[in-house]
Amino acid sequence: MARGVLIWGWQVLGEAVVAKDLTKRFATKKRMGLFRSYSEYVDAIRGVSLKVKYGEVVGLLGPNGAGKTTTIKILSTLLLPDSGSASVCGFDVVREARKVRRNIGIMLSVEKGFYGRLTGRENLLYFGALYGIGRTELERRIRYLLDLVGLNELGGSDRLYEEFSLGMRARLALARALLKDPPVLLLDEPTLGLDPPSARRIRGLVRELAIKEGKAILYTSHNMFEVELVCDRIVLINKGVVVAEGTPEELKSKIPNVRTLELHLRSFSEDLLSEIRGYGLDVQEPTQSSDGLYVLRILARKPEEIVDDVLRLTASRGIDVVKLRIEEPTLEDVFVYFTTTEGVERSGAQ
Amino acid sequence: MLLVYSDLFRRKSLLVMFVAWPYLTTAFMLIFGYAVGSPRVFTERVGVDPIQFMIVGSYLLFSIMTIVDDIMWRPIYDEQLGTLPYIVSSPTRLITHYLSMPVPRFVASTVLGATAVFPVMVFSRGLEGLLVGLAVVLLSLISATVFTPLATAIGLSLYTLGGESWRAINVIRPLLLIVTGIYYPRWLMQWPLYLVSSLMPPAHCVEVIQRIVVGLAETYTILVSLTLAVLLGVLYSPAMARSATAWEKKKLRVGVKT
Repeated sequence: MARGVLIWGWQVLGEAVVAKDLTKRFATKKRMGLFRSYSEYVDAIRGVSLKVKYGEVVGLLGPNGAGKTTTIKILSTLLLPDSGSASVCGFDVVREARKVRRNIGIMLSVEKGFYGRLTGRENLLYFGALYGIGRTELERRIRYLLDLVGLNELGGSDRLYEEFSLGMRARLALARALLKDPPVLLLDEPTLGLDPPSARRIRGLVRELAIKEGKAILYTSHNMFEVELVCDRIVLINKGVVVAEGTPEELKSKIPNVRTLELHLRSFSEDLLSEIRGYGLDVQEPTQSSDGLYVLRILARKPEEIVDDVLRLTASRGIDVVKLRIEEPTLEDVFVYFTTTEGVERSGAQ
Repeated sequence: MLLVYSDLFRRKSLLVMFVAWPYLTTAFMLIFGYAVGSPRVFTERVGVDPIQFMIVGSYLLFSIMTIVDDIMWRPIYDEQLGTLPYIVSSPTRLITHYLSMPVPRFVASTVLGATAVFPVMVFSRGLEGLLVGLAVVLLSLISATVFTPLATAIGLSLYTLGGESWRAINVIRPLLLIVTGIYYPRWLMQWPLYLVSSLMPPAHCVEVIQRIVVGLAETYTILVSLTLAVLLGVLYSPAMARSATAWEKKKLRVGVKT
């Protein structure tokens, strides 16, 4: 009852997951010949802070090696941080790990994590027993979950796990994460390698769990399109540091030249490029399209205000503009901006 | 139960091997033995014919070592399968989880006793062989149980110090085999080896089993040996708990592999 009250309290306050200034350094061995080696230290995360509220899906986005998995492991009590603090449902992940474990469901890998010679149902029975769920309740819960994730219709209930497709494995992994009906879900790339229908099913379920059941969900992914669809807020992490945070729209507004004016030209000259740059405009080197046209992209906050000037410049050089369009920024632009060297320098992030 | 029996019953080849294993091992030992020695000399020295001795030894080997293997190999197996993070992040204590792993093996081990030990004993000794077979099976279960704390302490300590590696386990297992006296009765051992084997809980149970098979068992000897075995098992329990805690702490420090 006390746990219920505590969780209710946190739900009222709204914060399910709170991480503050988490740091973790790993020692790696570098080999020198056959016998000698030395240790090198890698800062996996440096001062990572984030929050996830109940009923919210927060995306943790970053390139490979950014620190996403390290962060998820700390929050799921699989790794001790070197410094900083984190709590899940009000329980400290270091000092009250056992209590945290009762309140989280985790999904760390899509393609493995189960016993091959057991069926889908038997695997869930095994892990349910491990989680301390009573037999009757467990059977009921497994029936419900196998329906929810769509494994029953694929025959996954009574088929050996080693015969599962990747999509089925992902669904089973999500079912296991939901076995305890935890208030918090930590999902590490839950749709990695899945075909579009399976990925869509998982995404739909995640949104439903947040909206209808009020679960707090931390979701890591490389897929910008998916993150934009699924997540309410995004935390962008690069080289162990949080470089940006906000809703997709807030993040897009943070990059200086947010929109793109794209021109398809029949011909091109370097003088045109110099002249456009002379106006103080940010223009990329032209590329050639499959139909032989030169594609020029000019980044600007309000491209519609510079269209007339650009057309005048092209006309003065006798260059025909075949096509013209204005592009809205994507999350990929945000991602590249904050995680590439150029973007990091522009943003002033460390 | 699920894990043990799914392996056995869903892989028919494994089930066949499970039943045939004691006979195959015995046959190998006998072929080797007949090639270099004499069964008459064996009987005179040990006190029982080699077939009975070897089949009991093979059964003991299986029932003790597979239970030990369950504990020692499981962390490596779980890490390779990717199930370890979900086990570590469950509310169940790691040590409780790994200690309960061998329990289904006890049942399988008892069944194996019925297919291996009983037929040979009944064939050799008649109705008395049934009682001897029952004693062998019961005592082997006790033997495996009292071995668990020491085996766990050794296995998890190795993992903590050197990482999860099957190579270290493959070196330790034969050594454990020798000192438990399964194929070389304790009462024939030189005193240094005898001393070392005295520190092994299953060695005392194995000695009791062998004395029963050979016909040298006395009530007093049986009681003292079993008491020693249980006491040693209890004495090693704190070491088992500490090794489990140390291993878990190390895993959390470097991170459980996903």
